[in-house]
Amino acid sequence: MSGIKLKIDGKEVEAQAGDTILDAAKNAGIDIPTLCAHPSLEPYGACRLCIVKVEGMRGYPTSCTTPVADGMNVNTTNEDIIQLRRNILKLLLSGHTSPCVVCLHKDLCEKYRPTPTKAGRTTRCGTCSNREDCSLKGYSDEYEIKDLEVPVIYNNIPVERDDPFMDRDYSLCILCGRCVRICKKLHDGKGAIDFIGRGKDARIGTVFGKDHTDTNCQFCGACVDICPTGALTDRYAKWLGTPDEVVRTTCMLCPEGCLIDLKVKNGQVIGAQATDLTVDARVCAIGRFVLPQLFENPSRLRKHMIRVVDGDRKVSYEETVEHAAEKLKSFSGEAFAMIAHPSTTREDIYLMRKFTKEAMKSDNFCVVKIDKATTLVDDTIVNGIESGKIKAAFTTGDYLGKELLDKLEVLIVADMFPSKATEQADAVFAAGALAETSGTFITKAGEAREINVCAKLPDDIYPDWKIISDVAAKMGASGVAVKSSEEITKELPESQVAKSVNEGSPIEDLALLPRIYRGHKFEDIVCALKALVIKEEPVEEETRETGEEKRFKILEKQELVPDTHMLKVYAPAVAENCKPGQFVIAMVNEFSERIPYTVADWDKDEGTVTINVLEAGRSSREVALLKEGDHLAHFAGPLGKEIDVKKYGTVVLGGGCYGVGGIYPLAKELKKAGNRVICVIEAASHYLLYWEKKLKDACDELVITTKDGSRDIKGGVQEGVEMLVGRGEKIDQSFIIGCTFMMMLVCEETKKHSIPTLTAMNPLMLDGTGMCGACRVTMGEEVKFACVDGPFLDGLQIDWKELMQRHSAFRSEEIESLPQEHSKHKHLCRTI
Amino acid sequence: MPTETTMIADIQAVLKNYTDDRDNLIPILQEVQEMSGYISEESMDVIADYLDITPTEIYGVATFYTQFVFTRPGEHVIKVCLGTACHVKKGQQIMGEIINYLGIQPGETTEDYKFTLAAVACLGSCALAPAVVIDGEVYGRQTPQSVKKLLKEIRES
Repeated sequence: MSGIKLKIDGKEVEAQAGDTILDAAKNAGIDIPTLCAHPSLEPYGACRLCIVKVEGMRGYPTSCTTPVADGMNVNTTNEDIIQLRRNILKLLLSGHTSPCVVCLHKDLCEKYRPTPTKAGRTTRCGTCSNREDCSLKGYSDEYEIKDLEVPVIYNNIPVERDDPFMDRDYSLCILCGRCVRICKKLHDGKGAIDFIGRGKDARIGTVFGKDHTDTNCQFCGACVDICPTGALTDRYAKWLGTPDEVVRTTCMLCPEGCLIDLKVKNGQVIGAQATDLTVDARVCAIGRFVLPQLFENPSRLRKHMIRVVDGDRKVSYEETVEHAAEKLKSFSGEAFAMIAHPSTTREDIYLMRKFTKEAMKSDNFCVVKIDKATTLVDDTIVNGIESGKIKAAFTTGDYLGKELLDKLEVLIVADMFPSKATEQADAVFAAGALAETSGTFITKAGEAREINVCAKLPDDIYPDWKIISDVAAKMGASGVAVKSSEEITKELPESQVAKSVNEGSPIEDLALLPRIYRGHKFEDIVCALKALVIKEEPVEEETRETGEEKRFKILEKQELVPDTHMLKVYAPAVAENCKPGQFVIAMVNEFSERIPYTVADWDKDEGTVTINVLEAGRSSREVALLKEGDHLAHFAGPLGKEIDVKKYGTVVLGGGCYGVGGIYPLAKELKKAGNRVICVIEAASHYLLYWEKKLKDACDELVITTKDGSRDIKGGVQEGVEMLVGRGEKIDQSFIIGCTFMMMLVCEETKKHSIPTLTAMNPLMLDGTGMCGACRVTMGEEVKFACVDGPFLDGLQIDWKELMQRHSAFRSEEIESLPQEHSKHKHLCRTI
Repeated sequence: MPTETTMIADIQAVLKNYTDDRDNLIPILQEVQEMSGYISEESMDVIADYLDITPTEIYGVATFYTQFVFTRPGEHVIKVCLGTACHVKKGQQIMGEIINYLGIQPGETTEDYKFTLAAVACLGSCALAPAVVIDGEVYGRQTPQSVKKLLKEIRES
């Protein structure tokens, strides 16, 4: 085939007929930016970012759709093209949150706040789970976008959380159409999503905005994997960051045995993806979304246990092996049975069979059969246990009913999850399996596929083959013991081609999704799955109100701006005693975390207290999900010291996020005391400002700052203070309420001008009464407790760096505790 | 109104006039809307089945064009002009009066499916401003009083 010769940026390049300029450039190592183009998709030409100049051609064609021609002379980076690309990026950013690109403090922010705030939806850089991996941010940084001259628009589309696995925040969508196109490509032209509407109202959606669970969506996850922004995310993996490595293995959860890539970070599985975005490489919802959630699952068995006279005892692996061997010793022969699950490596099954035969001298070995969501144990074994012939069993899961379990004299279980079997067992091994072991797996089609170790097992926890091998060795059956799984592979007989039992594949039919692993239903392990496999109507929650009981009732609730919720709570005793600067501690239910909230307003006559809550993690999400008429379980306060309300002269009140509400009562009282009060508020963008009029009425001057420059001063409270000082304002005192990062920045500014600064400290807090010491902060030489000495402390003396470190101490636990539920079935998921 | 089953039968009758080529989607949607006044969720499912495409794709196509509506319209469709001439002649007051009288916003239909209200940009009847079109008939030079009287008459007829 004759090559086509062309010139790109002065370089002689050879290409094939049918190649696009983009292909030719890529092959020649010339980088052209693209957003809508993707190697797995046909050229589309929507985003226009890949424009180039071609000599003799009018305008700037998109390189992704323009075929190469002999003698073409292409320029990919002249001044005009760079400027046009900048404009394209700015227009895209006008409808997409942009502080992560244009904020003045982004470098410091990335240094001090390496992980994002886990809000319900992304309204600013700090709340974007995708900021490490966003093409739009990447190109905007590369093209040095510093300011947006275009208006900033927030589409304010609620996040879609109707299915068990994905969060869809279409307010971040740039309409590149990658998701729509990959969905059509992978599902025979029948996509579950499409462009809905047109013009400025165009967005990605489903027919009549139906839930994905009510469409033909197969939850293959390709849309999530191909999205160039943070619009489509994997709810489980989204906060876990980017993986260190991607390891290919085989999913054993059903006979299909699909190849799958597991994303691994610090030895832990944080996600999965198909090995390629092609029809053949597709995986089902269970492989893509459930498999990675099994390993670090909160319900996972992490300790070995043996049963002693007075109950269960957690013991070492060694002790468990000894105990199991001791117990099994007297049940040699037909009194013993071993039961395994088919989602097990060929090596492990071989070893279990050998263990049964050689160590236990029994023929009673079976691999259970799976029928939808039930496991079926061989009749001979069931009959054997029923008749009392089989007295001891070693199982790898929850396969036997209560009656059968009761008949057994000895039961040994090796499993990943607790069950009625582990409760009754004489010895329980916390086992490693699936991506924690190695070996081979025979697929439905009869192919032997490799299982690779992807995840690191915790100390003292071992995979199935080692457990079997060690118990055998302890029982003196040295012929069964092995040193590695590979040793078993060598021993294996030629594999026999398995016959496929059911037609159809879970990849194309949700009804065929695997439902059960080692006797545990997936929906009991990953409860969000209930939305997919159990289409039940949500249960109406019981109301907690009893008669005249009105305490802590939410009388009014409003999402003031995205992610900031105003709650007016009936708490007359708190309202009666409230003073400016104080806070309350609220709990949504008796299992919630105790979280301090600055009081934003109160009304003694009504008996109400108002707090503004910023969604930033599990507990505040729980608060955000409350409705008017709901009750808080607990609402303690007022706590902390009030501010000293007196005449200072000119007072600056700085507020960010929830602090915008927090400074309101201070403004009122300080104004009453005869001060000149200037309020300086900040928000990431104009659409996150609230209570503007309320504040304006309460103070002498209101200064507004936005991080993206979409309103008034570009920057934050410190830029506001800088402006005030610059115009000659003499500031006698300042009070600052906001996040730690913002208060630190403001203090840097006020320190320069020796402005006395009191900051409302918000460290981790437990009891709020000075007992636990969790909220200690270092102020100069002293250690202060924010709950009783504060919340307002001298910001100029605070050790901010230490405080930020303390703040991030529980980062991984915070992520783990985040609710995985979806909007409708949240009552089913109370346990996490 | 026809019941759901007769509606589906009617749509199937419409589909008989077309091959199952996806290019026929827009003419089919037009004919279905002509017949039922709107395109319902059920009709979309039937059409999707016939053309072997997803209801979502049909919805995507149909929402691109303003000519298609997806909710059952009222017996009488009222279009209130808010174009330049009607704006100058206080068309907004006419709209306000209708909103007040019917208790619905533009784009909505009354609970009894008697009226659907729509705001339009220009009807080309500027000489008659402020103008209202009810069921295709232009009523010019309206006042809040006259338009209320008009609606009363239609409601009682």
